[in-house]
Amino acid sequence: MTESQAMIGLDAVVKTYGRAPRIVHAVDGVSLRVDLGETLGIVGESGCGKSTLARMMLGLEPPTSGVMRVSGTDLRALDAGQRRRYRREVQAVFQDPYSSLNPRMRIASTLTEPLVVHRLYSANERRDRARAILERVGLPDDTLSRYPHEFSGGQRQRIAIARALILEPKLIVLDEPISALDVSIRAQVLNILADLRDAFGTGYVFIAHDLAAVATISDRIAVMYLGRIVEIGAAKDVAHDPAHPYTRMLFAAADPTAGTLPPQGEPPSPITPPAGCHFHSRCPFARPDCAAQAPALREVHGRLAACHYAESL
Amino acid sequence: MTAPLLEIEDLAVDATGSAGTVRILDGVSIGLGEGETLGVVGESGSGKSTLAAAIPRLLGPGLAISAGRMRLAGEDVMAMTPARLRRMRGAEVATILQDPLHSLTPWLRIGTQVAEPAVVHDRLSWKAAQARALDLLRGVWIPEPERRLRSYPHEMSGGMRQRVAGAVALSCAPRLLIADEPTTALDPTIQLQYLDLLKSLQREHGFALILITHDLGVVARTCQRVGVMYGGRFVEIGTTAEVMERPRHPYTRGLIASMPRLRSAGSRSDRLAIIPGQPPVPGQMPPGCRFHPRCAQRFEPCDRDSPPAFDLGSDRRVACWLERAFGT
Repeated sequence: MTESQAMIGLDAVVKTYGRAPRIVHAVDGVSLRVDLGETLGIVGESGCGKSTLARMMLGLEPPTSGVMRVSGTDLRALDAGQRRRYRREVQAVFQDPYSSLNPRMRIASTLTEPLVVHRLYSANERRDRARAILERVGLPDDTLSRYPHEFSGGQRQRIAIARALILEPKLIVLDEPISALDVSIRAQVLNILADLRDAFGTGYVFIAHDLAAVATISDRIAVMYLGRIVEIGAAKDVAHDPAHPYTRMLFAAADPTAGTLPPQGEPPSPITPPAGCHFHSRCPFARPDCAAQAPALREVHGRLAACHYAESL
Repeated sequence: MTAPLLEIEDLAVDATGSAGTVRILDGVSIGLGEGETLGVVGESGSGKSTLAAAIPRLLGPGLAISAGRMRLAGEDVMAMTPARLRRMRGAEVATILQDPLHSLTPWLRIGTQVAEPAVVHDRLSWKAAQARALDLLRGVWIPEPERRLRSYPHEMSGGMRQRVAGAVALSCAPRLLIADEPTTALDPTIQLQYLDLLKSLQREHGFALILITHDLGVVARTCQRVGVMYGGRFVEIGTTAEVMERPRHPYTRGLIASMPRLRSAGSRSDRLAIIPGQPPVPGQMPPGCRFHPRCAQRFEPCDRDSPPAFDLGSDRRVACWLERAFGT
């Protein structure tokens, strides 16, 4: 694929917070691309930078350094019209459907507001579109005249998905969209997302700590550790045959039948990450040079992994 | 055979509020032997946390046990005096909650909090209790325990705090530990460490464990037996291996089938099996079997009569009319 097909491209993107000496490298040199219509899953423990990455993709935070491109154009170089288009083409769904819907707005207004903001369609058409999109997410017509408090968490998350979808975006960034939901509701929402993707060709960036859910819905998976990508590749490869020791640890923890040794240690502070490979302090395979030199992402068995010894593990 | 550690029969808990009285738990029966591990699985509103709070009689305001019997090592829990209850909580039945930021006191040093139960229940001096606290912190795999005695909760990670909560719970050698979603707030790798710690502590100290969770994976790793709750009742109880591999209640079957699997990675056309609808809310329970509106196998009696727990032998009970229709 050529660069022009990438919906979003990140090149050595860094995001830091705070001032010296307490600087948090939330995202520490991430390069990746999200192609049109693909689903990229991002996994990692809390503090690994996955939500910061999501916020940058949504344009909610500018990168501290590095370049972010939208459909091939540097985000900083977008003119007002292009910026508006980007805001329309990239939509968001967040974890908590209780705080992401305005409690004082009827669902009809919540759903049509994005269309109003972007000056799309007549009032009647907007209402028709809201009705059609609700049907797509499996909610009845009378939803339109109701308020958020009348709905369960799962129904609210469907409404949030409908709101993201009504602008017919090319990409939806979903940050932990199912973690607040009941177990029997998670599968419903995952299926709806898969159906919508088939129907509209929408791409997803899907962030969750439920690895099995991410593996199920993603075409590719990126694994983050302390602000860096340690492995990225086809979902099948990453989930079934992880190359990086951290990916192995993570996926073994998610498999109840694995019966593996429990992982060692906790993620270190992102203010003072270990030198060299950030993971060496918890890595069962670490050798002396792992602490000295940070491994670059390189091709290992058909995907990219950042480990000096990925082949010999 | 000696009397089991915990026997609960037909327990009911009611919530009373401005809207009247709502039954939260209804006809809950379960037993637990010394040193045994029972997983209790359910979604929000299933009553699993109410059960966790009802056992040490620590129900919140507005909640009350309205029927049933509870015995702890043969002693009637319902007849315990306030002094006896205080002794029971902490010294015999200890609890770990989901978020240790709430269960630990923010302005007290860890050492004080871990030592306190031994001072209160075992009448140790603070000095002796501090020494025990140090051992306890070591026992829950806290690195640099001497330094951590002087730390405050906010100075520790979530996984570390949950281990401290474990140390507090174990300080008076309880016979029963109730852990309500102890790993839900933790990262996956830390969850696994914590479950491993609980199992190892149990081997060492021999307490019985009730693990309340929404996560069947946690139960599969940790528990010998599992009870599945739905709408304030147990719908299925059995050994974890039996229930996970041969679930009989349509709800249990649906729940297990709807779990995403790692092995289905990257197949775009696959869809998960789903249970339609949503879990019922207390106060709006459907009549008959509470699962019947979502059940694909419902038939004539289901919307009318609540199914009893059919005993299928070898400690397996299933509350579903299908068990009567097909025999066992």
